[in-house]
Amino acid sequence: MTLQEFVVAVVNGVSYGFLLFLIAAGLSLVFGVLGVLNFAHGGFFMLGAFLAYQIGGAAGLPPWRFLLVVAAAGIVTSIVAMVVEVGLFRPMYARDHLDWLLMTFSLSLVAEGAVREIWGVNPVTVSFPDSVDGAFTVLDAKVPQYSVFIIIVGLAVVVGLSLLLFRTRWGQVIQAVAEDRWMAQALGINVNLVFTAVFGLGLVLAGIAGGMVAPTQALTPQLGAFFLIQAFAVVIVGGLDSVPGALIAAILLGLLNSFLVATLSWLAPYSFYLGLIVVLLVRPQGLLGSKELLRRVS
Amino acid sequence: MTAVGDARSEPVTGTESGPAGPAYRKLQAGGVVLAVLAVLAIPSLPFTSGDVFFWTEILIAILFATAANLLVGYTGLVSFGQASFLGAGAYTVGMLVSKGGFESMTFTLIAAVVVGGLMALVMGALIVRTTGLAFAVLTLAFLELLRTMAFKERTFGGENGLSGVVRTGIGPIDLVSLDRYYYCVAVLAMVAMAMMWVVVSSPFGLTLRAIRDDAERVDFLGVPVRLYKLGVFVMAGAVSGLAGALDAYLNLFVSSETLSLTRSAEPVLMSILGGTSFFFGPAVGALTYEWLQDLLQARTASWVLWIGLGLIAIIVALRRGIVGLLAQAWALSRRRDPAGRTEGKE
Amino acid sequence: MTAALRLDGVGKRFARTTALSGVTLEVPDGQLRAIIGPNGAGKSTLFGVISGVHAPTSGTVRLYGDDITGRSPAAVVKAGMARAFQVARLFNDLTVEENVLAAVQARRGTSWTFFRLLRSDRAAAEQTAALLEEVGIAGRAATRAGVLSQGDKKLLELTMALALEPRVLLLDEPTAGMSPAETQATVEILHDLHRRRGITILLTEHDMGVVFALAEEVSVLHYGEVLTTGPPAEVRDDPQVIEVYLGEPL
Repeated sequence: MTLQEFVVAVVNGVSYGFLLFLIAAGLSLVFGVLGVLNFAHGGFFMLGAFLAYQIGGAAGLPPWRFLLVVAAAGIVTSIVAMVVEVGLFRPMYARDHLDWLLMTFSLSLVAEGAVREIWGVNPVTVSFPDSVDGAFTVLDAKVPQYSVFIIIVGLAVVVGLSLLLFRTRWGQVIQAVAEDRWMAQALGINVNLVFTAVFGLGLVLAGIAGGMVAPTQALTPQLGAFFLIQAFAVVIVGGLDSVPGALIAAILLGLLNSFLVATLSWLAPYSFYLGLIVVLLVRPQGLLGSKELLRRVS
Repeated sequence: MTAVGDARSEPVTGTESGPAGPAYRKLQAGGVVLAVLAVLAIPSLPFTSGDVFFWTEILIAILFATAANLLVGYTGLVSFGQASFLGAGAYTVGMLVSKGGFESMTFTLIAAVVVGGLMALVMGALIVRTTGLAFAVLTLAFLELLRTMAFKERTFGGENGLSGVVRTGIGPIDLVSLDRYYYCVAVLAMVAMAMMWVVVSSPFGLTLRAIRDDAERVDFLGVPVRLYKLGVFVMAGAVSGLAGALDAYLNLFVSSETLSLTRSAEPVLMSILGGTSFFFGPAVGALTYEWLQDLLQARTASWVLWIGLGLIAIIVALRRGIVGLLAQAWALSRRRDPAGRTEGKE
Repeated sequence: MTAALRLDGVGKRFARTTALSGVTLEVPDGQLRAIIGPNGAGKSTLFGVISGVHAPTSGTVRLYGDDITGRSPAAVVKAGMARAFQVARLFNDLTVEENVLAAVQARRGTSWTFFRLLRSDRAAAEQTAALLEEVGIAGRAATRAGVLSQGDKKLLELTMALALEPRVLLLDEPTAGMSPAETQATVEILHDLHRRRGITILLTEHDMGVVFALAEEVSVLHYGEVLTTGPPAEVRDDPQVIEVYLGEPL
C-alpha cells in the first residue's frame, strides 16, 4: 500500500465512519432511552434523503444552502417521526420486544411504500454541492472534497450532541429517563414528553444523515434497508445504548471497510456483517455498552 | 387479591367451544379437507386454470410461511433470516443442475432439504443461545452475509444469478409441464405440512409452546431449552430449503433475490397476518398476502405501503390475525346458540 | 446416612452486597424443613443458589451426596430437585393440563418425541390427571393458566414440581398471596403430600401459622447466616430468634 492509498483510505474511512455515526446515533439514542430497537430507522433515514432531493432539487447548490436543505430535511423527518411516536408508539410501550420488532419492521415497509408512492421507483440523484465536488491534493493523494465536508459536518454534530447530552439540563433529564424511567417519572419528569423529544432528536440525525448521503448515492426505495443493517452493525459493535460507543464503532468500521477495500477488496463487502456476528456472539454488550444491556437485548 | 369464588366465575377458555375443543377440531378438519380439494382442483377450475404459475407460488409461500411460524409462533423466536434457508435450497438446486449437470430432481430436492437443515444446524449452533433482539439481528446479519456472497462471488453466478435450471421429473413422472409441476408441489407441500402438523401436536410441540411462554421456566423442568430451539431451527431450515428448491424449479432461475430481506420478512409477516398462534394461520396469511400483492401491484407501485399499514393495524389491534378473528367470531356465534352453550361448559 | 440436602459454607456476593455469608445446613432425608428469617435475610438468594439460578461464590451444595454446586437449573432438576417460585411462574398461554403435561413428559423423557401425537400418549395423560386430582385442581384442567386465581396458580406450580418426581422439593413461600381459606387448604395438601410421598421438603414461609403447622424443624436465617436450627417450639422460645424478630410477633 502506497502513502497515497493510505491517505485516501484514512480520509474515506473516517468520512464513512462519521456518516454511519449520523445514522447510528439516533438508533442508539432511541434504544437507550425508549428501549426500542427501531427497524424503521432506515426508512426514516431514506425519507431524509428523498426530502433533501425534494427541497433542494437535483442541481448543485452552494454549500451553505445545501446545509440548510439538509437541516430542513432533518426537521421534516423528525416531525413525521414525532407524530408516529405520539400516535402509534405511545400506546405500545407495555408490549414485549416481539411486538416491537414486528411493528417497527412493518413501519419500515410503510416508509418504503411511501417513498415509492411519492417519488416513484426510478432512482433520483442529487448533485454534490458546488465547490466541494472536486478533490483536494494531500501528500500527492487525491482526497474527495465531499468526504472532508462530511467529516466537518459530522464533527459539528458530535460536538453539538455531546453538549446537549452531557452539558445541559435537558441532557440530564434524558439520562435520568434512560437510567430508570419509573424513578424519573416519580421525580416529576414527563417521561412521555422525553420519549417524544428523544425520538424526534434521534430522527433529526437520521434525516440529516439522509440528506448528507443523498449526493453520494442514486436514491432508490431500497436505500433504507442497506444502511439499516450497517447502522445495526455500528450500534451493536459500539454497545447498543452507548452513543459514544456508536461513534467509536462507526469510525473503526469505516476505517476497516476502507482499508479492506484498498487491500483485501474481496473481503470488504463482508466486513460489517462479520463484525456484527462476532461481536454479538462474543461480547453482546459491545465495546461500551452496559452490562445491564445483556438483559435488555434478550 | 382475587378470592377463590371470584376466579371460578371467570370465563373459561380452552373448553369445548374454545380452540382446543373437539368441536373446533371438527371444524378445522372440515376446513383442511375443503382446502385439499380446492388445491387439487385449481388447475382445472375455469377462473384459476390460467394462473397455475401464481398458484404454485402461493403453495410455496404457504410452505415457507408455515415453516417460519414454527419459530415465530410456536417457539417465540423472531427470525428475519429465514430466507437464508430458502436461498440455500434454491442455490443447491441451481448449483447442482446448472453447474453439476444433475438431472434427477429426486436427488436435488433431497439435497436441498439436507443443505437447508445442515445450514440451520451450523447457524443455529452459534445463535440459539441468544434470544430476542440479539437473535433477530443475528439472523439478519447471516442473511446479508449469504446474500452478499451470492451476489458478489462468481461461483454462485454473481449478479446474473444461475440460469439453466431445467425441470425433468421425479422417477418416471415427467414434470416438464407447469400443470404437472403444480401437482408435484401440491403433494410435497401437503406431505411437509402434515409432518409439521404432527410435530407441533407432539410432546416436542408442547415443549416449544412452553418455551415461547417462558423459556427460563422450562429450564426448571430439567429440559435443555437450547437443544430444543436448535431442533426446531433445523426443522424450519430443512422445510425452507425444500421451499427454495421448489421455487427454483418453478422459476427455472436462481438469483440473490431469494436471499433478500423482503423474501426473508415475508413469511414472518404472512404469519402475523394470518395469526401466529394457529397452525393454519401462516397459510391463510400467505394466501391473503399473495392475493393482496397481486391485486395491489397491478394498480400501484407502492403496495408495500398498504401491506405495512395493514400489518401495523393487526399488531396494534387484532393481535391474533385473520384466523384469530374468525375463531373469535365462531366462538361468539356458538355462545349465542343455546345448543353451543350447553356443550361449551365444563 | 447421607443427608438429602447438605450445604457447606455457602456464600454469595453480588456486586456490592453479600447476600449469603457461609450457610451450613443439613436436611435429613424425608424431613419437612422450614427456613424463616426477616426480609433481606437471604432466603430467596439461598433458594436461588440451591436450585442453580445463582452459582455460589463459595461453599458446596450436595444433593444426597451428589455435588450439584453451580450446576444449571436444568441439571439440578435432573439430579432430583424441583422448585416452585414465590410468585408462581407458569406457562400462561397453556391450559392447566398442558402445564402439568409439559412437566410430566419432561420427567418421562418424552419431551423430544416429535413424531407422535401428544394425545396418543395415554400414560402421560393418566399421570397428569392423577396429579391434578391429588392436588385438587382437576376441575380446572382445561382453563388457561394465565386466568387462574393466585391460589390456584400456586397449586398448579406445586403440581408441576411434583410431576418431576423430585427427591427434594423447594417451595418458596407456598402460601404467599393466598386467602386464609386457600392457605388452610394448601397446608392440608402439603401435609398429606409429605406424609404420603415421604419426600424431603424445604420451604420458606412468612406465615408462622403455616410454619408451625407443617415444619418438623425450623432454620432461622439472619444476615446471610443460619442463626439456629431446631424443632418449631424450641426455635420459637429462643431468645436470639426473638431478638431478630423483635417487633414481629412470632
